[in-house]
Amino acid sequence: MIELKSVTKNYKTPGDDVEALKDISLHIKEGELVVLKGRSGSGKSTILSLIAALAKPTSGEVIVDGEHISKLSDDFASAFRLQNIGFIFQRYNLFVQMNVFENIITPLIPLGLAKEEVETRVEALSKQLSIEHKLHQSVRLLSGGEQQRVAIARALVNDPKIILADEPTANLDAKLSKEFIEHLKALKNKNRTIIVATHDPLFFELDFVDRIIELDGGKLCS
Amino acid sequence: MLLSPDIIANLLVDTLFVVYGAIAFWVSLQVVLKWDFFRSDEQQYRLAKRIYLVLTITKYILFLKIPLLLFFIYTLDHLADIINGAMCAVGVIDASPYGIYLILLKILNVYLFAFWIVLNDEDYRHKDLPYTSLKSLFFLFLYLLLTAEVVLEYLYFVDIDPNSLVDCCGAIFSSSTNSWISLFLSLPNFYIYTTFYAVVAGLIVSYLLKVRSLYAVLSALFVPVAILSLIGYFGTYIYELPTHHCPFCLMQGDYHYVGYFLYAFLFVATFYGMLTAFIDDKRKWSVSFLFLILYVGIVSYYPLHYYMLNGKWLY
Repeated sequence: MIELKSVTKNYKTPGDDVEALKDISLHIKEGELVVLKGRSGSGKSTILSLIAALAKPTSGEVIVDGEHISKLSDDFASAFRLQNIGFIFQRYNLFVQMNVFENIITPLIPLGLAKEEVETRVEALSKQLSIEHKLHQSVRLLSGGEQQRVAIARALVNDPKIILADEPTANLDAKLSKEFIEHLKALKNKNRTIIVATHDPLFFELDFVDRIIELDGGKLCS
Repeated sequence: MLLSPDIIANLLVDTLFVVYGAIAFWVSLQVVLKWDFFRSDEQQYRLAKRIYLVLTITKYILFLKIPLLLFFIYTLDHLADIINGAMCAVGVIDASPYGIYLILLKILNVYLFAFWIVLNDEDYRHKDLPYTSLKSLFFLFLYLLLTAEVVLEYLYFVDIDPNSLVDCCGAIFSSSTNSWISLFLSLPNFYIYTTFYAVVAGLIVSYLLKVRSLYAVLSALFVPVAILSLIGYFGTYIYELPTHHCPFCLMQGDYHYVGYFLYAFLFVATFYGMLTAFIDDKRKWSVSFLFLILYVGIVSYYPLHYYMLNGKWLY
C-alpha cells in the first residue's frame, strides 16, 4: 500500500542544511493503523508530508498503491491527494472566514458533485461526528474539540483510502483526546489505512494500533 | 546611437530577458545532459524542481514579449518624427539593414516562445513527463534566437543615423520600385483576394471536416497570405487610398489602431491553428477558428463598407 524506499529529506535553512530523514525504508499495508512516535524534529511530520505528496524527497522513492508519487508533477500530486488522502493537521488549518459546512465541503469543490450528493455526505459525516447542529456556525465560534471534528469531517468527506493525522491531540484535553481515539477506532474498523504522527503516550497503549514506529533524528529506531 | 526613453526601455527589458534566460539556459542544458525520469537520486529531484524555474522564466519572457513587440513598433512609429523621410515605423525599420531581420526575428520568437509554453503544458499532462528533454533542448535553441534578437536590436539602434535620409512607407510599398514588394503590388487585385479567400475557405472546410493536418498547414500558409493581402489589397481600403500599402500605418490613431487588433487576432488564429498539427485540443482549435473569423470579418468589412457607401470599389 505505502512504501518508502531509501528516502532522504533535507531542508535548506539559511546557512545550514537540516537532514530531516536519513535513508528511511518503510512498508505499510492496507488497513493498518501505524503510529509514528518520536520527539519534535524526529521526522514524523516529514514522513506524512511525503506520503501526502505535499513534499518531495531529496532522494529515494515514495510509492502509494503502486504509484510513484514522489515523481508526480504538482497537478498530478494534487489530484492524487484529492482522491486518496485525508489529512488532519495539528492546528486543524480550518478556513476561519467560512462556516462549518463550507469548511467540510472544500475537498469536494474540484470534484463538481451534485448539490444533493454533497449535502448527503456532509449530513452523514456531521451526524457521525456530532456537529450536525453547528453546520452553519462560523468555525471561529467552535471549541477546540469541535474544530477538530470539523477537521476530521473535512479529511473524510472525499472518502479517502489513507488518513494521515499530525499530532492530532496536541491541542486537546484528555476527554477530547479519548473522543478522537474513538473516531480513529471507527475508521480503523472501516479498513482505512491510518498513520498518526504523535508523541502523545495515549496512542502507545491502544490495543487496535497495529504498529508503533519510533523515529529519532530522522532515522527509524524500531 | 539613438537613445530615447522608449529605446532604453526596449533595450533594458530585452537585456533582462537574456540575463534571466541565461539561468533557464543553464538549467535546460543540465536537463538535456542528465535528465532520467526513472532515477530517484538527489540530482534528478533537483532537476525536476528546477524545471519550474525554466517555466517561470519562459512565461515571464513571453508575457512581456507580446506587449513589448507592440511597444517596439510604437517606439519605431515615434522615431519616425526625428528620422528624415520616415512617415511611420516602416521608414525607421528601413533606416538600418538590420531592421527587417530584427522585426522578423521578433515575430518568430513570439511564436516559438508560445510554442514552448504549449509543449510544456503538454509535458505536464503526462505523469512520466515525456517531453522534458525535448522542451529543454528546444529552449537551448530558443535562447540562442533570443540572444541573436537582442544583439540585433543593439546593432540596429547603434546603426541608425538620425541625419541620414530614409524612404517613407509610400516609397517602400510602391509598385514603381524594383523590389519584390513592387513586383507583388503590381499583381492584379483579383489574384490577391482570391488567394486570400481560397485559403480562408480551405481553413473553414478543414475545420468543419475536422482535418487537423490540413488546418495546420493552411494556418502556416495563412500568415504570409494574410499579411501580403493586407499590404496589397485590404490595407488600401482601410486607408481609402489605392496607392497606400503600408502594414504599419494601420497601427496609428488615425485608423483607430486597428492594426494592433488585426495582428493580435492573426497571431492567435495562426498560432493555435499550427498547433493542431501536434496537439488534438478541440478548445484551442475553436479559439483559432474564432480568431480567424474575427480577422477575416474585420478585413472584409473595409472593402464592403467602402462599396456600400460609394457604390463602387476603390480601384
